[in-house]
Amino acid sequence: MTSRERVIAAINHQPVDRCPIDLGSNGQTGMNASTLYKFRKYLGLEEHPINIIEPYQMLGEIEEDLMKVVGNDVVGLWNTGNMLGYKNDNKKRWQMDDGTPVNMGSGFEIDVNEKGEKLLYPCGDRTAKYSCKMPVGGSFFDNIERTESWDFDLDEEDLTPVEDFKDDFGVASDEEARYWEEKSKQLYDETEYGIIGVLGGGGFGDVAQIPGPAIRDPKGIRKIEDWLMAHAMYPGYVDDVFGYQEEIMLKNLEIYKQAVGDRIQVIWVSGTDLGTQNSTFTSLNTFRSLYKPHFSRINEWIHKNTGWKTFYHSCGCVAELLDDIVDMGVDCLNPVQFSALENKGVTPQVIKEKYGDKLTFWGGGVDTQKTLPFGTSEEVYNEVKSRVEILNNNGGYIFSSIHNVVANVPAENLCAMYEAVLGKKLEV
Amino acid sequence: MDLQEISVQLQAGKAKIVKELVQKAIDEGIPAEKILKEGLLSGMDVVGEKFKNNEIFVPEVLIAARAMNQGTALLKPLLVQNSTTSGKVCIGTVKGDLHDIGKNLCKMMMEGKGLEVIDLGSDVEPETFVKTAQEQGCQIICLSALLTTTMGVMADVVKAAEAAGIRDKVKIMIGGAPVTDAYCEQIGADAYTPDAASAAEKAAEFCA
Repeated sequence: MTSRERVIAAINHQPVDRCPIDLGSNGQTGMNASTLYKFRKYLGLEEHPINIIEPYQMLGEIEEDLMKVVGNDVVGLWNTGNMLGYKNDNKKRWQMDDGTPVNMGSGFEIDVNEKGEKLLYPCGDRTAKYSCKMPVGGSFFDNIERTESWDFDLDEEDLTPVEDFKDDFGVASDEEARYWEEKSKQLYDETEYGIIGVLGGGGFGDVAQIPGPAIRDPKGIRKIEDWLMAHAMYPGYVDDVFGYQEEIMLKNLEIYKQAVGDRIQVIWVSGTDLGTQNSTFTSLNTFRSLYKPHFSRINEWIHKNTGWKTFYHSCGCVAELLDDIVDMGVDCLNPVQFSALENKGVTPQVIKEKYGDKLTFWGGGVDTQKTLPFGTSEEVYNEVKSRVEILNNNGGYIFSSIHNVVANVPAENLCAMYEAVLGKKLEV
Repeated sequence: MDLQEISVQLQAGKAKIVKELVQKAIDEGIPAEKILKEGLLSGMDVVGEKFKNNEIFVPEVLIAARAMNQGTALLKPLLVQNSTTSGKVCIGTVKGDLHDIGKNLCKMMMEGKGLEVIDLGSDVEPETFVKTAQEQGCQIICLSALLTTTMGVMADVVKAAEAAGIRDKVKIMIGGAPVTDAYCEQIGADAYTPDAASAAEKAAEFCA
């Protein structure tokens, strides 16, 4: 099987010749540049600065040589603009605090304050207020809250949700569409990888996006706690923001379909985290009234108009949402965080048995809160082997660790992880 | 008036009504301490319990805490200094970690137990926790971390407390997504709690 055939079989719940692997196709299956640099060095691959493909999480680009070594089967069709509002042209050399050399886009504009914190300008616009910060010794950015705490004494009917969020969602330009078309052709014709279109835009209420990391002057309810409170105090506001986002997303899906056609097999829709470590962020009722209708309409359009499978990411314990996730038309679920799901009894066996014919599990291959960073290579190997045996039975599974591989993960453990999936030593 | 009504409205997150009822209770001459304990804090007790049992979720907890804060603001000038706080806690996310949703929930829940909470914010140096505990006489230092790359700093705080000679005077509580009981034991902290409501209960127990 070629990589693409393997991925297509897997997402259609058909048997595969070996477990398909994803390293770096999207912003939730990637590797932090710091770890990637060390991993390449450990494997004896060429040492050079890492191109940053997603600067918020400082994810490094996975190059062809490493893809071959770890058996990667999927690549992403990324957008031209990144989460911080500029393009990844790799023209600006920078160095992370641990010494990792990286290439950022030329729109990467930061100041370093007296403490050594890195403060970032959205869209590279030095006239705007900083939107993100990387702490000293940190390995990725987080949002800075730029709005005052919301005054919940205001009446809901006086609020302006669509006006507040109008800069957060936009219809794709012709230039963007042309890029999607050309790049998708290149990936489809010149490689044998499965392709996921990392369109995004369907992440309703994604708390990484609500503060507006790429927005010059965010307005409205932006602080995470205010945003969560709005679910209870101003559900109409939240629903109106989602409604506007959905309208734009449906327009972009039309454009995307025209641009990429059937060259992608999977579309990355949402990165909204619906779960905490032990439970869900909101009640099931709130999820059903505010979120599910929007997600459902997006998925319905995709299934009606394309052959793409839908990819959804949600960290946390989403055990109680699984029936609804299936019902609303999710095909591929990531990252399948067992360390949280197991708090509600959802083990690999349970999820495969109950949902294995309905969902493709994309991730879940190794725990990244304990095993991968702190376990021994043997522990990593054994955990991966056991998870793959269960989850890859009769397809319906794409291997990746649970969310991105972050900084400070030993290269030995990464080798053990891929060796367990491939069933052989890594060959460079 | 029946202070239970304050509790009920607080649980529903009705800040405006809670404020009105607290003012009414004050006007009726009910002692501020009684209003606080039997109205506001008893309401937050129910909120904490329901949150722990997944009967209510983060948005409902946040609006209840807002209602409590608005009620407490009216009572504060009337409360005899320190007569009602059962203990003092300093809390923050550890150095390098900017994720503070969990920490903020813990703070609210602890205030709901009548504890005084000094919020040191996020990305806090180990020495700052220790210095604050020393200077402000905190019985508890509470540490939060979301990341595997930052949770190691929790061990540094324990060491810093030992070095400053206050380890036997202060309890160190830890929490956050990657943190476990085993890790708590490994670094010699006093308690790990898996959620904000349990953290508040444990803190109240330590201060009792």
